[in-house]
Amino acid sequence: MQQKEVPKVLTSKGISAEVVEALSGFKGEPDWLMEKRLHAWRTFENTPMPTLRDEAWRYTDISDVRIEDFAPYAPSPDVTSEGDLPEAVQTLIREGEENSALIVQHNSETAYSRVDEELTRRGVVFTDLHTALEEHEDLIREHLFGLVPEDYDKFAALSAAAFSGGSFLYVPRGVDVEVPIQSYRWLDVIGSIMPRTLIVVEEGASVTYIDEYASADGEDPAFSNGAIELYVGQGANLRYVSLQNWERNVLHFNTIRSSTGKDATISSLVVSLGSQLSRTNVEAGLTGAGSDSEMFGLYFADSNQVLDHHTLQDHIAPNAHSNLLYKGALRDESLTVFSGLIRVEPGAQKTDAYQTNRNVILGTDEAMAVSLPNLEIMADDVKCSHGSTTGQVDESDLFYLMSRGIPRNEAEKLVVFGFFGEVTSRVPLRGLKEKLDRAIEGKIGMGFEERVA
Amino acid sequence: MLKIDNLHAEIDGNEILKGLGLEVGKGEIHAIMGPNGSGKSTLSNVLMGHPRYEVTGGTVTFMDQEVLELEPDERARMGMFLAFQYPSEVPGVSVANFLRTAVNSVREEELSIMEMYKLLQEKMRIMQMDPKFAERYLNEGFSGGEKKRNEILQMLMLEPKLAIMDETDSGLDIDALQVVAKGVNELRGPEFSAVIITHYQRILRYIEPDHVHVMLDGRIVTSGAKELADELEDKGYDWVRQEFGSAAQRKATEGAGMPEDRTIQELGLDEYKFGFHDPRSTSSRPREKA
Repeated sequence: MQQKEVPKVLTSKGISAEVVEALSGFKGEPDWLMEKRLHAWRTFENTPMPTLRDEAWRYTDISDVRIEDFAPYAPSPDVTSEGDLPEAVQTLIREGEENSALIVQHNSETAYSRVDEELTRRGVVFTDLHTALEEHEDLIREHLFGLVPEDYDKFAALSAAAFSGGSFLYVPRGVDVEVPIQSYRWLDVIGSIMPRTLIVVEEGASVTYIDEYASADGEDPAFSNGAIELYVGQGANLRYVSLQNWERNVLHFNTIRSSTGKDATISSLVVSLGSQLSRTNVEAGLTGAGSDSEMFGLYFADSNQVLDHHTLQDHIAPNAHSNLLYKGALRDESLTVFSGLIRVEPGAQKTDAYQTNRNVILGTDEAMAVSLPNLEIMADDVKCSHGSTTGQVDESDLFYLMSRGIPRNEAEKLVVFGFFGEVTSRVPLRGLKEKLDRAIEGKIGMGFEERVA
Repeated sequence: MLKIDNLHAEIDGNEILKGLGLEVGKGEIHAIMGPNGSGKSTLSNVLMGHPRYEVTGGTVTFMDQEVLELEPDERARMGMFLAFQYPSEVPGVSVANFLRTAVNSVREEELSIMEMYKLLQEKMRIMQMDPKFAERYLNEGFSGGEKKRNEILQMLMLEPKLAIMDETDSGLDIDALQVVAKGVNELRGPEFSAVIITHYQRILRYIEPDHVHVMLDGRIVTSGAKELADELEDKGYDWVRQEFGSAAQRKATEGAGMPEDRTIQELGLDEYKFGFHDPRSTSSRPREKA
């Protein structure tokens, strides 16, 4: 909970070098970081806004997105205690057995934070990024912007220049964190949030981490621009979950990138349900020999939502394995984009890489699922494959289920739940899985069966 | 129990049922025999309400109620059951979960998880199925025999008043056939009727029918007692064609496979399943701005 008064320039529309400087000063940051931010701001200014002519943005039209319409910082003025937090957040706090540490970020500020003493005793650090800068500056300086640098794309440049909030997790060598750690981002104002997540899992350590995004329903647009950096040390293990369930007024841009040490394993699950326009880049760098990356994705688009995922399995080191499965459902007039690349660099011999994208369209001819699987192989001793399918829920399958007395909407639910089951079974928390199932059920909704009939 | 009168039905504009009539009384077992392409599978799909078939004439009443306007699930809740020739595979949905949903939909009261479990165990024993089977995804990766046993297991769980068995015997070895027959005989009684649709009379040695009908070109052409099945076995379907087929029909059957008589699977309609590549997935059409 912020003590200092927020400079007015941060809560007014528009971002400039002065705003970036004011933000850094307000947070009391060291000089190197302020310089970094200002440099990133210049990069942002010099990078044109992507258009449909850019290959990576060919299907996702962001010409209506005007970053200058958003204030760069959204305070959490009314929250002075847990009781002021939304019910969903309070439930999360009460259900303490489901996580061993929790940070609730309300708008741009930290509203609640708890870390089990046992974790602290074992050297685990979990704080918001600004606190981490004060207490663990060297660790932050070494890793921040290392995986999502300012020159990654325009949104990454903006994040580097104007981030606030966000969280930092450090798991020391050999420490196995059994109960997941969670960060929850709650947004209820017009404006923008730019959280960064930085996770460093040292050699032989193991942890599960969840980033969850939710907001209050509102008419006025809000903007979320995130950058997630995941460092997985030698022989370490990280399970990372991102659950994006914003209301429709939020525009969501997020880049998740990881690096893996020798024999490290990372498993990511990216769920996108909310937001009017959501663009997520998920990139796994197989930087250590023998490392392993599993990437799961689930998206469900309805009305005129646009949900866009770009993935990269970047095989740099030899003997590494990666497997990707992204599944999507579409209704109404929605658009989804899956663009996935397996890249095998020249030195990455004995690579084993797979990629699958499946989409199911529920009772409409208006929705469109774009699926663009790609391989780029520069080594000669590799095993790679990719596949993509898109189709309607099969009427014969529904007939089969209905012939057993199951009403049509129930039968549809079974088929869609079954379709997603391969992915939802990977959700590490019971409470989170139930939340996800409920969200999917809500998405399947009523009315769709009438259109099928 | 079941009364079919002058039933006409088509798929994609091809008429397959051409005025079929049949009456099945309470507690009776009827066999419908016919060569490939006579419309047997169409009949079973139409009786259960498959959406791809269009009924163009006639009536079907079940327990004195007209059913052609009813959804498949409504027919099932009235007590109709179809054992599929080609059951769908539904990944991600376990047999147990599916049966729980189905049984709770059909029965008036909800069974507790414990009651459901006991019932399922009991029925699986009858069908000589491994209890682990219940945790497998519905029909996914099942062998032909496992699929057929699973169909009969569902029938035992749902206890229908009328079971239609669409070539349940096809592709089964003698052991599996006996298990399937055992499942059907389990339900046999004054309250249970069945229509067994088959190409061969083999299954009728294990499930003895009260009446046998011969189907040809979308109609029942002759009916009799169970001895008719033996006669068919001796004389073959050519005899039926000679005896009952029209000249045009004989001519058509000389060629291999009449397109208008093919089943839905043979027409390749199952290509619409998801899992089939849709050209839209690689569309290069840029999206118009909303």
